Amino acid sequence: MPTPESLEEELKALIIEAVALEDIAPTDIETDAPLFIEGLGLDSIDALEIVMVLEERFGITVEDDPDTNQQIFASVRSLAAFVSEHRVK
Amino acid sequence: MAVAARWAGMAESGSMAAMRTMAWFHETFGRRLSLALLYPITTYFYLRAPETRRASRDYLQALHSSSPSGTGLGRAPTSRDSFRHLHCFAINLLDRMVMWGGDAHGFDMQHRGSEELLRLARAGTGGILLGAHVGSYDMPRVLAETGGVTVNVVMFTKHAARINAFFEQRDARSKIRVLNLDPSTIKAGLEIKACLDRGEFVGILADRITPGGREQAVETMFLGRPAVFPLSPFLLGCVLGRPLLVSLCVRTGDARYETVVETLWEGERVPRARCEPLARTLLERYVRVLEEQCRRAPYEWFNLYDFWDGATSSVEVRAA
Repeated sequence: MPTPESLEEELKALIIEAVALEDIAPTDIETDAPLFIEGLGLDSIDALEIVMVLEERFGITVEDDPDTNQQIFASVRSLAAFVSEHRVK
Repeated sequence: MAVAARWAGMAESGSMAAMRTMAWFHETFGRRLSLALLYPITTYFYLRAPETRRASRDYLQALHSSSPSGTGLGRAPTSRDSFRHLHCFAINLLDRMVMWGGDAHGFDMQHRGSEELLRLARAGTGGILLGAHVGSYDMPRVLAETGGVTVNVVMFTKHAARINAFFEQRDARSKIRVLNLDPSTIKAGLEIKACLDRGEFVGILADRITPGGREQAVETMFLGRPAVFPLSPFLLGCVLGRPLLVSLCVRTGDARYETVVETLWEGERVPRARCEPLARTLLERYVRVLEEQCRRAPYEWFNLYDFWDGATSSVEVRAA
C-alpha cells in the first residue's frame, strides 16, 4: 500500500498527463488547492478525462452524484483519499 | 443569440400545447384533414412571422448560392419556396407529435446506414448520435427502438421533467429519456458516460450553441457562409473514446421518411492532447453531412432563425 503522499504525487502526475497541462510540474500543483475553475482551471471535459484515467489506472467507477463528486474533486488530497478507499488495482 | 434563445424557448414550451392539439386533431379527424388544416396555419405564420420568413429566405439563398448547378433548389429561391419551407416545418411538427404518441406504423421509413447503429446496439457498445434541426430529429429514436436500445436525448432545458412525463403518458413503453444537463458542470459528462457504459445511445443536437451556455464554439463554413457550431459534443465523444454517428431523418414524401446514419468515428481512447484536433476534424465532417442533406432535401432545414449572423455576433469564437 503506498503512502498518502506517494499516491498524491502519482495523481498529480496522472492529472498533468491526462489533461496535457503544459509547463506544469507535479510540484507546481498544491495538494489542497481546488482542481477546477479557480485552481488549475480544469473544465468539465478535463474532469471527464480524469475520470477515464482513474477508471483505467485504479479500476474506480465515479458515479454521477454531484454532491459526492464535488467533495472528491475538491483537491488532490480529497481525490487521493477517495482513490485509496475505492481502488481495486 | 437572443433570437436563438427565443426560438428554442418557443419551440419547446409554447408550441407544446399547439402540438398536443394537432395530435388530437390528427387522431380524431385523420391525416388528410390535418394536412389541409396546415395550409391556413402556415399562411398565418408566413404573414405574422417576418423574422422566420426572412430566416427561411436567407437559408434558401445560401443553399442556392453554394450548391453546384442541378443540386439544392436548382434555381433562385422565391417567396413560394419560403412558404413551402414553413409548410414543411408545420408538417414536421405534426408528424413528430404523431410519432411521439407511439403511432409510427402509419409511416413509411427508409433506412440508410442504420446497420451500423444496430450493430453497435447488439454489441452493447452504444454511441453518440449527433442530430441536427434537419428533418425530424425524433425519428432516429424510432429506428433505435426497433433495435431494442435506449436512447437518451440531451436537452439543455428546464422542461426535461415535463417532457419525460409527457412521453410516459403517451407511451408507457417509451425508451426515450431526456437528460437535462448543464454543459458547464462535471455532471453532464458523467451522466452521458454512464448511459454509454450501459450500452445505450445518447442523442445530442450538434448544430446549435446552447443558449446561455459557456461551451466552446468553432467557426466553420456552412453553405458558403461562416457559422458557429458547438465543439463539446465532438470533444465529449473523443475524450470518452466512443463512436460518433450523424443521425438524421428527412421527409421524402407524404408520411415517408428516410433515416440517414453515417459513422464519423469508430471510437477509441486517444490522448487528451489529440482530442481537440480530432474533434474539430469530426465537426467539419458533420457539417459537410448537414450540407449534403440540405441539398438533398432543401426544405428540411429547421433552424428558422438568423442562423449565421445571430450566432457569430455574440459568442466567443475560436477559428476552426
